[in-house]
Amino acid sequence: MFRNLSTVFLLLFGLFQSLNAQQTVKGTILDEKGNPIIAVNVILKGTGTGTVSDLDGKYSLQVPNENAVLEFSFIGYKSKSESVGNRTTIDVTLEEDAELLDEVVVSALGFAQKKDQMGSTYATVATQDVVRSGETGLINGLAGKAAGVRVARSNGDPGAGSTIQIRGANTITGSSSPLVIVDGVPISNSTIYGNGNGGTDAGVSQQSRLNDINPADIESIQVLKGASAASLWGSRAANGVIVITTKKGKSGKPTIIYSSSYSFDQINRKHPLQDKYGQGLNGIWSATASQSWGDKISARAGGADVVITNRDRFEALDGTVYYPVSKKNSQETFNESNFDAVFNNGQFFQNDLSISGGTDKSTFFFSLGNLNQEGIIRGSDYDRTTLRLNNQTFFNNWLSMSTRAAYTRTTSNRVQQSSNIDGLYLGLLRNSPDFDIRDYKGTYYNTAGRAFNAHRAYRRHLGYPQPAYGNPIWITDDQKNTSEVNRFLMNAELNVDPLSWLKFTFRGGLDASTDDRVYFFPKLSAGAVNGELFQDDITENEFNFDAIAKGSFNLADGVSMLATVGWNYNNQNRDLSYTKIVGFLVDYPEPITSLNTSNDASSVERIKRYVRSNRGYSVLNFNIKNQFFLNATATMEAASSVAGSFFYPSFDGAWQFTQLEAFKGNKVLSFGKLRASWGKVGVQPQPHRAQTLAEGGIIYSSYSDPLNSSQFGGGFRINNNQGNPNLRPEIKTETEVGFDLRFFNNKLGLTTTYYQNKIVDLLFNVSTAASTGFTSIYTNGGQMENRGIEFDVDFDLIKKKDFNLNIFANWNNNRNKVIDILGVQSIDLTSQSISSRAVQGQPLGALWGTRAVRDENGKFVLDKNGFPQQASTQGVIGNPNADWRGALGLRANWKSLSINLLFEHSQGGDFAERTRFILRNFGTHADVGNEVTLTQDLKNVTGKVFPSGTTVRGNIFDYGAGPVLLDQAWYTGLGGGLGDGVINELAIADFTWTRLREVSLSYTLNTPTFRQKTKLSSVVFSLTGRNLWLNTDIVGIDPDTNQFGVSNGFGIEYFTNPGTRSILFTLQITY
Amino acid sequence: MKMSVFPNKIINDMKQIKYLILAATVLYSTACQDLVQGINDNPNAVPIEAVSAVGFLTGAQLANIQVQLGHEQRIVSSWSGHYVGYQNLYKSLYEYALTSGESNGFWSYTYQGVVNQMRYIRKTVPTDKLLVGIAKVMEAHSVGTLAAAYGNIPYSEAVNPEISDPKFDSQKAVFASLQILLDEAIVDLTSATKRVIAEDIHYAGDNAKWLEAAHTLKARYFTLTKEYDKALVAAQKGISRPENNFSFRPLASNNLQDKNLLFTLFSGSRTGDLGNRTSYLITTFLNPAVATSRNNAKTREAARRSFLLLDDRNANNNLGFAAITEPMPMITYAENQLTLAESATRTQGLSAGLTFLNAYRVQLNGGKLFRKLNAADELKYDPLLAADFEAGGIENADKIDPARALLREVIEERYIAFFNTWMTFNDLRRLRKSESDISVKIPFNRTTATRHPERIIYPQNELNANSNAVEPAEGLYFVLEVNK
Repeated sequence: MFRNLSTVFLLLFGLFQSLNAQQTVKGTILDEKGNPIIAVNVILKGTGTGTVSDLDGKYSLQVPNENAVLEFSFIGYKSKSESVGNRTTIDVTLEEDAELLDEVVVSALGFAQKKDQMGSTYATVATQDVVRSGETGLINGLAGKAAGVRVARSNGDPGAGSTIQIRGANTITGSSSPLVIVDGVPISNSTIYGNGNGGTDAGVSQQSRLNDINPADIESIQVLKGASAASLWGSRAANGVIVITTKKGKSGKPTIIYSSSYSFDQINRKHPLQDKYGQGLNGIWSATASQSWGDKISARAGGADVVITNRDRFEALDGTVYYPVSKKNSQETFNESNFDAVFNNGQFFQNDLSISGGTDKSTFFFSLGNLNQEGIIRGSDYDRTTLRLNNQTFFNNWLSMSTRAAYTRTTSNRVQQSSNIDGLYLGLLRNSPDFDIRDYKGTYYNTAGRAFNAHRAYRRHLGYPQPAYGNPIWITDDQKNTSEVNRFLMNAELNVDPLSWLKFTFRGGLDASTDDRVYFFPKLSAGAVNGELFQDDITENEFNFDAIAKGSFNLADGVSMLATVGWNYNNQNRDLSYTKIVGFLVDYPEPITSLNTSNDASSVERIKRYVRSNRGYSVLNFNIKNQFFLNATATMEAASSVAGSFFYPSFDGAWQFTQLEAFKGNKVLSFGKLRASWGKVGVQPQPHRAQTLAEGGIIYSSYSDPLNSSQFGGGFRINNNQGNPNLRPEIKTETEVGFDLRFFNNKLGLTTTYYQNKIVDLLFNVSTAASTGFTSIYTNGGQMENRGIEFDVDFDLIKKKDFNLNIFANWNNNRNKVIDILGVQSIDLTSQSISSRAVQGQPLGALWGTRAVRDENGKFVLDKNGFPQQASTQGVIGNPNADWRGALGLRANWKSLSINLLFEHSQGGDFAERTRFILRNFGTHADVGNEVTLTQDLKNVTGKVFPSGTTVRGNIFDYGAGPVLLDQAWYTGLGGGLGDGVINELAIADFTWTRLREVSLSYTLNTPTFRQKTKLSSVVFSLTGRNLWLNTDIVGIDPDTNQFGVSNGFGIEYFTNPGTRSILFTLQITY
Repeated sequence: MKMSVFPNKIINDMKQIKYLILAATVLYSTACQDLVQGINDNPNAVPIEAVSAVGFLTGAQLANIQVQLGHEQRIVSSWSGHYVGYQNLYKSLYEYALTSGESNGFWSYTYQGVVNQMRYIRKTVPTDKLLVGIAKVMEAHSVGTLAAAYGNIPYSEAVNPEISDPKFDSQKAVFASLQILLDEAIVDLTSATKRVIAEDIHYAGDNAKWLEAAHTLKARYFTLTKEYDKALVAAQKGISRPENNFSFRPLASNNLQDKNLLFTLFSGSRTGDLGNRTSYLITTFLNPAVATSRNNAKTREAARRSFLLLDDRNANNNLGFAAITEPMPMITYAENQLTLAESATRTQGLSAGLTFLNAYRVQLNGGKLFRKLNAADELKYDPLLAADFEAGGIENADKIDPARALLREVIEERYIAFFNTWMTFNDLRRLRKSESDISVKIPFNRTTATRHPERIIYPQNELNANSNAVEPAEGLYFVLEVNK
């Protein structure tokens, strides 16, 4: 490595020596408001040589003598000429020429580029839109902001992670997260479930590391959707790239901004529950029944229950005594008080302070932020403190340096959920309406008078034996699931500009974080009656280095070329230490390891993950007469997990056809660009899969009869998963074409793109013939494709001095198809009775489960009583992918007042309402709280006839053979419940939803009088409503929820913690 | 005048481009694999070489226990009148509804769990004759069970890193190879020095016991291929005492993952799915209250019936065969002695066979082969005389040759003694076609059935991934080579 590096340096110094003694002029180019202008052309008149200004509007150019004249030009501004004379510093202010400025985007390498010259799609999300969204996490703030970018939450838990997916699924078993580049350096956006969480179908929501970044520190966010824009990052770029640039100080008076927000959060949707029928079965009350198909509550005698006082009893902490009930008289129901016992109004308080400023030699940006959130579920919280210092120093006119350092600390606690007897909703929603959960802890006295610590829950109304499902209050108050994250992001960049046409950038970055997680189930927890403590200590770090040379050339009159060559080194380490203590010797409410120090009680595990890559790359950007722009990228990459080196080429081209004479002066079309691009990107294989190794801790079970080698003194085996030394990256090849059009003097902008991509060499585990001595191998094979159209529209309906009205919209209809998975019928992306899978010929994520028997026309084949029947095989029962997604927004300013609206819509697709389907079985859902009086004789599923005129608990429904009665027999049989013994297809609902993501109103106080009197620049008051309106057929839960959290599988909800809506007040003071 | 195609400006820039091209070349050469070499070595698992060869023994023995005593064995035992599938999966399997998915584990445990590991031991420590001998017996045991169950299976090309689609060898060829392997094992074990091997959960490195097991296994396979004279020779050196049985011995820990497999099965969510309360074995064959049972003046099976009767609905009620730490036999003194009895009767006549049978009955009577659970149960295995088998005598209501009647008695005894092993199913199939006069007649599990299953269907993973795997059209009912 060092020999190669020194060769590079030698070469670079060789280039330095070609410097000759010329005069150097430098300066800053500002607009009329004093903001730096990026990428201004600075040309030495009469020579064609020149340079462009950097991100801070600074330039530096060699001139031959004092007679030289500099010409400054930039689209959207009036050009300006300056004679050099004996000046070495020439600062220039350019006046605006047209109404719309040339938009600048930041490339995957962190360099500014003119958007109008790019041949691939760059979506820009304005930082203020993210900050204003009222979301605590950066990822959720991106929702609805760009076509083809899908942001899907886990749930509304504080700090919960979210899935970002760009242009559909690009991998089956790999991570679907885009690569995140902050200030030119990749950072982690991992969501690690770890060992302590107990799978992705249960446990708690985990965080997405991108949310560690404070949105208030961000200057700009770009989403590079296409392969060609991202291909520089080779095997890490298949999911697209999100390029984030953090804020910098500007020379001049220091700017101090203080902003404070308070948010008030509520549950967004509640599962409707019935309160007419009590605990029990077949219309008979029972205190121990799991279901609520018991007696009619209003038909009870009323008053106090008749109890047996001479047997066993439960004494609650407050002294209330519960005895066995011999006759249920009470008509009291507790749905609301039970809910209120574990849910409350959430809130967060966010404070951000930033100070920025500097001199012409040095600038700085400092920020300190804190977010303190309490979730809507009792006990859940998230606290994030961020600190950042960005500094830039200009040593002289050819050497500058910038350093950026940020620290984030988060602490949080989230509540167990989903498929989990220690989970909140499972205990709360299955709870019978006539059981009061509030006295949940106390002492059980048996008939002999012996006392036991007790955890009281429905079905265990005396707190004995152990609860079947945890009492919701136990789950929120006694169980703990904490996480403590400490993260450093550091980044240093050295810019050397030895020649007018040549620049070098050396950039190094480090992202280091630790996440200490504790999962604590005290003794008597439903799933851990003897107490369990799990700890995951996760350390991640990523080091990245780039050496980049850029040269600009004029090849001919009107033909220029910018050439970039670079080399990248990237090293990622992850280390997960897992400690487990099962069975506590003492009943103590804190998660400490001394609860049981015996060796038998504890076990440890450590999983390390190392990935290293290095890439050489070059980019050539051609500008032909400011009309044609051609870009070519070539990347050669060697990665530790890949056999051999891989080459990632890409090309894109843009033609500004409005530069043609025919379009000059056109009143309708002000700008038109045709773009096309092609590129290859990849997904890295999992590391450490090349070798076949020995494995210990083997468990052999043929059918519920496990034998564990650890019990027999240990022992190893040659791993049944065969190592594969020939792993290649998954390769995505994408082609896109599109237009960027602007009409009516740039008032109406339209961007449209058609893309199609194909991913080959997909990576997954395949079963091998056992007779080879191995049972599976992780290998390449299979194909998948995406295609779709994206539209982004931006329309300045009114643009006046005091009144602006802008409407914007985006739309995308990604179509995914799994073409081939090596002949395997399906690959599970998630577990459980309804799973999200890769199925050949279906879109990725297809929902799979038990089905109803259907005829060739897709109609139910009904049984003799008129009910659907269960098919003998499972299969595809839905597709969670939307037909299309879109957003519509409005921004209006009237004097100091501004209003923003953002609607988002997702059309079509299927969603598995498993909670609702299962609660029908439990008899607690509002769907099964109805009473109907029959107007004709009806049969239930067992064939029993209910005569006309009778009043029964149930619903009347027609599956196609005339009305039938859906009653307990149906809902506790094929028509409701968990597992495979039901027709799970009947749990599928339409995934369509429309929501008002954001509505905000703000008032800015910055009149000259105000400024004079207060010495403040401005004070802004804002009121934001987040997620205030939602329209969907899905009942009881915000469809922006996923049981499997951050996952490639989606469209399933199973006792998953709910989503939220909020109202926020913000005050921002700028000095 | 200087003539040039390009203006000077361009020529200058072309020089600069040269630098860049040079720089690019250097940079590309650095995107090299040297930098990433070694990083991908797995940091979480030990290399195979780091584990001493003996470290691979225990896991393979556990895999073999599942092969011999696990799920697939329970399925075929339910086709043999020993078990009944009452509900869920076992109910449909019991009713002969078996699909290719059911066999995946069985094959992977055999080839991956046992053979791959044992071959590694043989390759790594070829001079450790004790370990090598044990490894060969282990391989012969698991592969022979597979061949008996399925018929043709991959063997000569199996577990070979060079071959991704091993060919299927004929069932007889597999057994022939296994006899050679066992002969080699016997040579190895004979030359080996005895030492304590803690990793050997069956015999703790006792080569004498391994030798006996190897001989009984040879006798088993000769019996399967109906080479009774050779079986008789092999069994002479087979397992000599019940204490030398090759068994799975559960441990007395607080963990459920080392217990009697039936106990574990009944303890979990499968409770009530499979049992034998209403099986042919319990309700008819051993039941003293049933006239057609095998109880007679010299034999009372009440105690053995109590021992074999399982409580599938409450695991803790099991005190007999499925008691929590009850050993589960796989290769036994009983098998060896009954093989001697059968092969001697066949090759040397009634009295030779009867001697072996009576020796066995002494052990039964002495309570060495099962525990008497209830004081009230009558335990009676009186010595049998040649005269007992005369026309009209024991097993001879139909007045056949007394030697055949003795064979009937031996085969019946085998039917019981092989409880919860593959050998019950093997014996039924061995005799059903060719010697139906002496085979045990078991009922069908489905009223509409006309045939008994003759094998198991090849696993789905093998059918998918091995191009040589072809499932016979007759499926479950395809009669195997050795059973014709």
